[in-house]
Amino acid sequence: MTRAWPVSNIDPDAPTDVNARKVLAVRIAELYSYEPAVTEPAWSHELHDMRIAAKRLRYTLELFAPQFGEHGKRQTDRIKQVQEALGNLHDRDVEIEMVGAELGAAMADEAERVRTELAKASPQDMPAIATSALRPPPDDVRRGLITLLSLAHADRQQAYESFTSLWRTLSEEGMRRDLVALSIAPRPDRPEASTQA
Amino acid sequence: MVTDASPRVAAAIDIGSNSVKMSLGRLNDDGKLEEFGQVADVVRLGQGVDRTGELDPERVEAAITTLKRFAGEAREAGATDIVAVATEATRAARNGGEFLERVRRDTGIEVRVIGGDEEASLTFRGLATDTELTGHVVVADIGGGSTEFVVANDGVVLGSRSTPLGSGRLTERFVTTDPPTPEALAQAQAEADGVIGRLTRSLKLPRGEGVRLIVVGGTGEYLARMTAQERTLDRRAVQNVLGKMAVLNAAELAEIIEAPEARARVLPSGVAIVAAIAGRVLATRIETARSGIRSGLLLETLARPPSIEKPRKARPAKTRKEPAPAPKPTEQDVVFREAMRTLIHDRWQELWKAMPAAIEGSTSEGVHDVRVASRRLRAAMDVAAPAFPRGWYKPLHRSAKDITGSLGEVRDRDVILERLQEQRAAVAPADWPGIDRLITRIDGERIVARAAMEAYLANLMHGSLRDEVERRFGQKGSSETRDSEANT
Repeated sequence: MTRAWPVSNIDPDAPTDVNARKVLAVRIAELYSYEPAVTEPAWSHELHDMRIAAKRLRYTLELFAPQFGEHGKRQTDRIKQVQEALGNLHDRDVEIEMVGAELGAAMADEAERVRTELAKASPQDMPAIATSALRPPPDDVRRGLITLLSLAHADRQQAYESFTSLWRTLSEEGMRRDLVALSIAPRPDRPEASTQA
Repeated sequence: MVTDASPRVAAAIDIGSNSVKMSLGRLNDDGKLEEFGQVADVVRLGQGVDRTGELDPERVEAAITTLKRFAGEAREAGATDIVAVATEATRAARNGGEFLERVRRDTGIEVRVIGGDEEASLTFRGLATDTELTGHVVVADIGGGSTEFVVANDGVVLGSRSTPLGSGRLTERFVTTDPPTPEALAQAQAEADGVIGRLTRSLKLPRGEGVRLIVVGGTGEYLARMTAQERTLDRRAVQNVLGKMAVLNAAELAEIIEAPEARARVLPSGVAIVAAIAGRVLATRIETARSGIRSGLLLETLARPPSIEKPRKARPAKTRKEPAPAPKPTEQDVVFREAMRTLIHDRWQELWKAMPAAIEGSTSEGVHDVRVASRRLRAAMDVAAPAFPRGWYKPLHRSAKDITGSLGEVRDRDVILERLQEQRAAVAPADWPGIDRLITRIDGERIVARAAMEAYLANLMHGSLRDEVERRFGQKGSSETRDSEANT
């Protein structure tokens, strides 16, 4: 997992909302640094890191919910959707890897079985062994694993499309603008006091 | 309010996530329960709890107003005992304790917060008063914030579980339009199906045409009103009703079911839950019954000697131990260091609170909850690092990270196993051997990972970390370390 971007200018003795905005600004930048991956379906690692960045941003919004008020809640809901959509995508990537590894192991087992049987078979039995390898029985474990793999790929494609569609919608709604506004604006129900008072 | 001369009348109040309901009852000469004077108010106490973690002040006021009225009516009807229970919304909310204190102070009613198991047990006991419970039975009590399942055979309870599946909860999560879109209802049904799928890992739900599915609570009652099938519906009728929900707005629906509009608004999600349960259990017939909690409570209360002192008047608040202290909000004008100290302390408390369920392991949600709590804690500790001395802060920060890590192996496998079980149910039997091979392998890995995780968490629960957290972030400890932090 990629380490969180550090927030270097925290002032422990400043008011909480001042620091909250600093943290938020960094987390927004961190999330959007992965934006190029949105249009690259094969960039699984980057999309996974983007999910983690979305999670960090969401936790920041939740952590300082009293500071960010109602506008913060709206952004939290949006980021939660992004995080969940990327989560679905990541789950499918993990599944594809795991099922693929199991299928590889099952195929290696079958190759080993054929090799062992051929090594001890008489020449007249060899065609039957070859046939058994080429026409596996109905309960062959590889069948279910191939089915799983195809389902996982189809679901992955769907998960990617759902994510990109969501990202497009949120971008059109101005999510980035709203997030940035939250990181620089004073709390809406309490404007910051003028220093010239 | 109907009144009746009776030597002993009791009132049972159920404070749910959607409604507050009261029933009056007495035992007749045969010792059987007779209920009368049922009233209900839709107050939506659970509204927003999932989003904010707290009961909404406006909803709290509505609930208090209703409870005051109910208490007055119960006393007027001669109730010698008023018992009240609160369920999921109060259970889940951080300010649930404050709410109970308000109720006690303003109405004189002592409310008991009951857990999911007790809720299920009361439901079943109450249901048995007017329903023959022969054969394989699955009882589902669908509330606004949770659904309780009881599995029984010939009246003997085989198991029960509470799930965080509620009509109000699903509405908040998926329904954004009035009427809801078919997609939103499909999502709500899919979510319900997923939760029930996870449930079946710890509670064996019988399946098949012979199983009796009994849906209790308002959802079942209103569902029956939407069809011409009285108290027993067939499974297709539920899907038909769900289809209607996508074309009727809340006002139209409210008229049909003769219920307040606020109640009608959450009904579609409730019906989606029924459809998901019916799909899992495969029962062809679905019976509906009114909620059994209050009947169960009345039976429990009337079996005890009457209260010596009746809580007639509201009493001033007394100091007492609350189930969960409400966290202090981080105010804008509080200095960051102090705000973070409080926040971090609260988040450690959430973590400790979640740990026993993860160790106990009856559901995969326990592990998930600790993982989420540890991540929330880390989010706070990550940003607060510059505010505290590195010498003692870093080891605690490290521990928070290790806790998240210790659960990852188990959680990942829980998620994959759930998915594989779902996939297995959806594919041809010829595909099962391969899927079973993978399930066996992952299950084996999970057992090993779980043993390591249990040992790690149990060690943490009973080790010195808790004391150290309390010393550094707790009220008592904060003053001890404050001086040194000033020089950080």
